[in-house]
Amino acid sequence: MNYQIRTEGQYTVIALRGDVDLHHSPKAREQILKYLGDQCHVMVDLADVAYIDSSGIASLIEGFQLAKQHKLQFGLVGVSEPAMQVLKLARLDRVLPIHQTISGMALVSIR
Amino acid sequence: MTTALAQTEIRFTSRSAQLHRVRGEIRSACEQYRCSRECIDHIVIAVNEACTNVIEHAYGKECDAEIVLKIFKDGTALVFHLIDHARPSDRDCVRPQAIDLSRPGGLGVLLINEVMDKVRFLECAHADGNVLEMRKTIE
Repeated sequence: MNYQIRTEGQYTVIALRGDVDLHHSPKAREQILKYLGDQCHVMVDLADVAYIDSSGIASLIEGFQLAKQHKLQFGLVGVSEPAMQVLKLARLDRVLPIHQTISGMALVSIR
Repeated sequence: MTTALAQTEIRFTSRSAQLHRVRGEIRSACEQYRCSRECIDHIVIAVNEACTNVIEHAYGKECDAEIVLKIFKDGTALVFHLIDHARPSDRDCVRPQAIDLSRPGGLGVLLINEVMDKVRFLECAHADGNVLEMRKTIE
């Protein structure tokens, strides 16, 4: 797995690429928590994720929870088919905020 | 009476870096049984989670201890035996639990149970170790 960081509007986008499994998910978790810790609104781009396991999903859930605590925005964008399969099996596709694209998204208040 | 047919055996060590190769070999084995692509994808997800649990929880560390995955057909089911030589696992640990988002542990077990029709530990012939059986009907 590798990752790239970019900024789109007010979002820091963490684009993950490859396999986000037990071997690689600590790197993904580190980046997600780092930018949320810096008070950034974070979108995780999963378009190029070939595989994600429960440890990767747990990192996304942790980011989602931390963002809520800090009243920041957190979501997933461009979710690849393999990643969506896992999210659906875990029934998290209706829990985690999922967006097709970032463009046009407006920041909304976090309740 | 059911008869086990040709068997695939995948050997690997308790290292997460091996999981990518193991997933590829699981996929290749399942393709021999003409499962649908979605069925194979789901099986790979479930069996990968079981392998991950052995590395992370049974052995509890990255090490060179051996793990063996046997795959065979039994009637209309694909059967997976995941064998380790770690200390015996809690036999209830493969029962699915409701996911608590504040503590996302147990997600792997949930995925295994969502995909597989039956998940259980078999009696192990060795003093130490576990044999996790997962069965998936494919026909």
